[in-house]
Amino acid sequence: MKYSRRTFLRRSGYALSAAALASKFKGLGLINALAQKNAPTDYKALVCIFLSGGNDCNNTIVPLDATGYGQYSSARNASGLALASGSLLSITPPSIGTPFGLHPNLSPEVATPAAMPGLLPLWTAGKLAVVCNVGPLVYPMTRTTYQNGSVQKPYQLFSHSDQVTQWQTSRADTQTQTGWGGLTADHTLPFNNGVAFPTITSIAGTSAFATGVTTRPLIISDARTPLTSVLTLSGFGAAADEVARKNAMTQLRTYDRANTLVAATSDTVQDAVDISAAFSVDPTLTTVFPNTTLGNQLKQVAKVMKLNQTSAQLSLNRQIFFCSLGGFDTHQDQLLNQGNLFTQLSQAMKAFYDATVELAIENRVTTFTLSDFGRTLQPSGSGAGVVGSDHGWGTHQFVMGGSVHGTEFYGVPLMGAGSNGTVFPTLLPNGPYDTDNRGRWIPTASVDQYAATLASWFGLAPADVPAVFHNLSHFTTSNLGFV
Amino acid sequence: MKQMTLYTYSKRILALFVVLTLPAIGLSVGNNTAARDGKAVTASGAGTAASSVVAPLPGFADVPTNNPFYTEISNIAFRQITLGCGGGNYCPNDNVSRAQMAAFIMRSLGEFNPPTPTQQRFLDVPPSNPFYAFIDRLAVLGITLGCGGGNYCPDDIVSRGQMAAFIIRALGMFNPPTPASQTFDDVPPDNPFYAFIAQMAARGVTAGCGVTTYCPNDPVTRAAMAAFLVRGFGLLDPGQAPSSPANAVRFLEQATWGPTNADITHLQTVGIRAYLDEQEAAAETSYPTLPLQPSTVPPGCDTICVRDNYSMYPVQLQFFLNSLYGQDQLRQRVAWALHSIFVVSGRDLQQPSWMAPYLQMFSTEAFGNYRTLLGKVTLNPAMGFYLNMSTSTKNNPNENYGREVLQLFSVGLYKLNIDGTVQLDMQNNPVPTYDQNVVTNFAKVFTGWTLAGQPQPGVPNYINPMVLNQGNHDITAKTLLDGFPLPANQNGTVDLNMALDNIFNHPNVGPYISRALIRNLVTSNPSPAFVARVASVFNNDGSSVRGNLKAVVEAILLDPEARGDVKGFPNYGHLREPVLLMNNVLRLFDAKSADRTQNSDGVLNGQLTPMDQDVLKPLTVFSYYPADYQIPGTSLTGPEFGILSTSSSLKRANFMNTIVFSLISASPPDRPKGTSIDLTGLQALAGNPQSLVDELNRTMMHGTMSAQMQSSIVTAVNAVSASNPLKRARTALYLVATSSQYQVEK
Repeated sequence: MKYSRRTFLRRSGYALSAAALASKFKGLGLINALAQKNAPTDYKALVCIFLSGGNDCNNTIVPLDATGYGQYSSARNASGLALASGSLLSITPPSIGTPFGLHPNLSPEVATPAAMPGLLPLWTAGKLAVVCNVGPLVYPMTRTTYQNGSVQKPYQLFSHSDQVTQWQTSRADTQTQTGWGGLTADHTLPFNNGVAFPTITSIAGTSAFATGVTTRPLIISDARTPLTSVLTLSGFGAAADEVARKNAMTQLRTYDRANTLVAATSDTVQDAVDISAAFSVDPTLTTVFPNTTLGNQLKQVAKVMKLNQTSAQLSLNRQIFFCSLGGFDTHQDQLLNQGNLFTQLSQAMKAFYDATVELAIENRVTTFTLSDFGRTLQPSGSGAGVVGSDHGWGTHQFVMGGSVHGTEFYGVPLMGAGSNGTVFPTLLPNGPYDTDNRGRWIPTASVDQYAATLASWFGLAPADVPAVFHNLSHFTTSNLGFV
Repeated sequence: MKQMTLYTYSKRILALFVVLTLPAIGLSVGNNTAARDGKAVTASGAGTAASSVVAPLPGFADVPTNNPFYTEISNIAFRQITLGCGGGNYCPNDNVSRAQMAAFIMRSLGEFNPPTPTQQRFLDVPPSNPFYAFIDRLAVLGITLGCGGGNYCPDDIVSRGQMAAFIIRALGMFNPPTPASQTFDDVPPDNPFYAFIAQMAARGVTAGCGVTTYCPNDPVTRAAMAAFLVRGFGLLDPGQAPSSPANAVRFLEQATWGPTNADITHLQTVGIRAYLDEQEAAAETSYPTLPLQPSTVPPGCDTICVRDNYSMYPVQLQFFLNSLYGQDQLRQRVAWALHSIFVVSGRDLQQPSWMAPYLQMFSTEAFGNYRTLLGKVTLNPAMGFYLNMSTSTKNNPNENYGREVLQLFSVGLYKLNIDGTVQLDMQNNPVPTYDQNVVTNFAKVFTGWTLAGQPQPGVPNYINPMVLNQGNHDITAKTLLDGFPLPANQNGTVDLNMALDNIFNHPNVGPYISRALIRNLVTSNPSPAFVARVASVFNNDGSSVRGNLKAVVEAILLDPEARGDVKGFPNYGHLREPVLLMNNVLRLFDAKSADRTQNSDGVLNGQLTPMDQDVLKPLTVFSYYPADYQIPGTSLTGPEFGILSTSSSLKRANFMNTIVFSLISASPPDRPKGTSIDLTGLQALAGNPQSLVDELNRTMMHGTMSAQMQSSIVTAVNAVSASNPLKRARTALYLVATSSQYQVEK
């Protein structure tokens, strides 16, 4: 046990004080005293929702002014991909002053009053913001510099795996193994005062996002499994022979580590065993979550947050969570599929916000979306049950929470000829935002800017920002101001 | 038979010469200058070797084709067991020193870069000795005990008698049986190497130095060494050599859904070559022919009807039955590997009847040609639906298939050298294989295809290949990979075949597909040389055929990096993905129904989903886990680690708890029979815990279990009352099956 504990601490944390090493968890008064002395004790959490497959931003938020909707409709109506203007949920960001429409399923209760509510109430209450046309960039880029090759492009544009990695690592120039969530956790670890419980919890498996230099995420299943059962090793009782078997199992994890793959496997199991002791209770919430993939993931997040509030073993001051909803790669039958996903997304997000209110931490939790890329304005395929869209680039993301400066669009306006002066792109194939002729938007805001804004709110020190966001200095604004 | 194999092999080497004449096969060699087996190496010699990894032999200057050992020397050069003695020579008549022999033998066992020892073992072999690591490995494996006094005598010349002992020990036999009669006149029973030399003769490694003599005291020349290695380690055709127990278990782990005791015995008896022949000839197991259903679930279709006609239940069940009980194990295993590359997910398909023909295609083509398979995959209606080619038209093209066929099924994102390493430009950036413009053009190629005619109204045709509607095909001129032009106004079928040929002939396909298969079958981090050897076979199977999957599979399984009793390099092996882990244990312990009266019902997928694998229903076209997933904190690729987490790692152990300490009970209607394993064989050994451990070491870890691991398990078994042999057996099996040492297949 001694060995494994040391290993876990080494791999999960920055250098820890001798006092912190004295105990795996934070139960000792000594460490609490240190905590009060050395670090802020406010709680903050970032919750990432990854919309896997590449969410079509063009049917997420549609301009409703005559020109904007006309451009949208002329690209999408003939193939049957345009949403009727009357079906959209009208919102008006003050900085732009003209109306836009949210996809109707982003607040299903508007059309179907009995449905669980979605995001519109949060927009209205100032708890929801939109960041427009954001995507991986190495340097600011325009259609001209994209096409003439004078500015370095992100590697492997339009490829799922590479663009996912770039959103999660905030490195568009080269592949790295570490994600900006993991690196942010590395650098903010002192906030957590040596508590060995991992800063990052993923309810959606492994990811680059949650991997730091030293940070490794706790990965658990969703709320369909009680927290008391997420990390259980079955089949061991108090009988002497079962204790002996468990001891042998523990010993085996320390052997034969010369093989890197064996060592990596043993480490993963050891982490699980070490952390499992923290899940001794299964907190309950009064907030009702939809019984969906994302609903159950976000419910589990809220339960871990409550456990953190109530368990002496946790009491982390900083937490990051990773969730994911798949199915956004809507090359085909997009109207049906994206609609269903938006119902799920919006209802789960609203329930989660309500749960943070229940836990009285709504101002301390910021939830945000990421996604592979936006999609082509020009559809792929044609007709009901078929029409969809292909891989694009820049896209819109949602940010939700009590600290968010909501009811507003954020981003970076495109300057120069052909720009519309706002953060929202002009929906025009072959236009100033398009890479080619199908409406793949060249981002005006970079992932670095978007992510650094979130990480800075979380507590990443200005001095540490360049280490996490390598290319942020290529952009004039380092904070987009939405939170 | 043997002659034919020889001939085939020669042709393969000739094919490599052809490859070598192509320009720009830039290859990097690992930093193994110090591991050279020859004498002082000149700079020019090193350069020659470095630029010719694929075919190290445009010919050694001093080994003309009429040299009696030309074939054997070519062979070990091809496998990089020798890099020559410098200056483009091999020095065939020089004697072999004990130091050189260490490198020759370890490389023949597949260990090209043995780990640096933590401390010096022999007084006369300091770390500066170029053979330091090889000699240490030789000692670790018990092949040498040194020459006495704590020394190894690295510069002493090896005699033919001594060499017999070294080779036979390297083959895993440390105490060869005393022969019934004397083989050679000059090797009487009191010769210290009597039994070893007899083994050399019995295994066909030597025919002696004369009609009835062996010349045990003569030195071994480098030419003779090549012959000993080729014959001893089965390098000419590894399958010809009788298989050691450990090599047999390893082979079955790589080539099947898991060893059974019967298969281990059989393979040792017939040898790998005959086993491959049997497997390639074995009747193909089938997926059921399921009726196509209307795309709207008809009224009155109840739960069972939906399960059987609108869910993946029937094909998942058959998948497990095929993998547990099918006689065509190699075919099933390769089909799985191919299915994991060419993904169509049952998450998105409505009906099992759409999936069954798709899966059957991989069984049928497992030993066929990659180009044929690529063509069938492209026009398969399930793929047409999954990646949307079936609705892509000239006016509304869909890029999905055009993009993923390049990125995932054939060439990949970056230009590759034949050894699978990425080509870099002048700025050291990887060179993309294609750009968006190429994807757009391939998307145009794939327009116009649609599902074949409906067998009944409302019932889409997911059986027959898609058909062309030329009116929907984009007939503009197109530019494909590497600028290959397709002229305008072609028929869609012509465009399709030319485009698939353009993909098929791209030099990336060999290394890309070879590496993917190697990772699935053998090891996550193959050496570049291993990839290059297999990719060369992909490029030319020896009969000028490109894309011969049977030859590729054999090249993988017979490669020195796959064969042998044991592989000790620190990055070797791959994590057993959940389905492999489960099937391995079920097959080894004779899985049957819960009541042991009949076969398992195959309702096993529910056991895997907690381990984050949903068979036949991967999350996306990127398959069950990322093909290039890097193990965090390392520079290693470990695809299967993409689904190993704090959560799933314990679920793996909990599955073992279920199947070892209990069973999967029958639960009609969906699980009519359940599944259980049989531990009576282990139970019989439980009186002696070490015997129990020895048996599990043999069948599950091919003899690699460390002493401390054995000791811990023995201690745990001893804690169980001897009066409960079943619990003793369960305790030992649970500990092995849940151990990282087992879960990482090496």
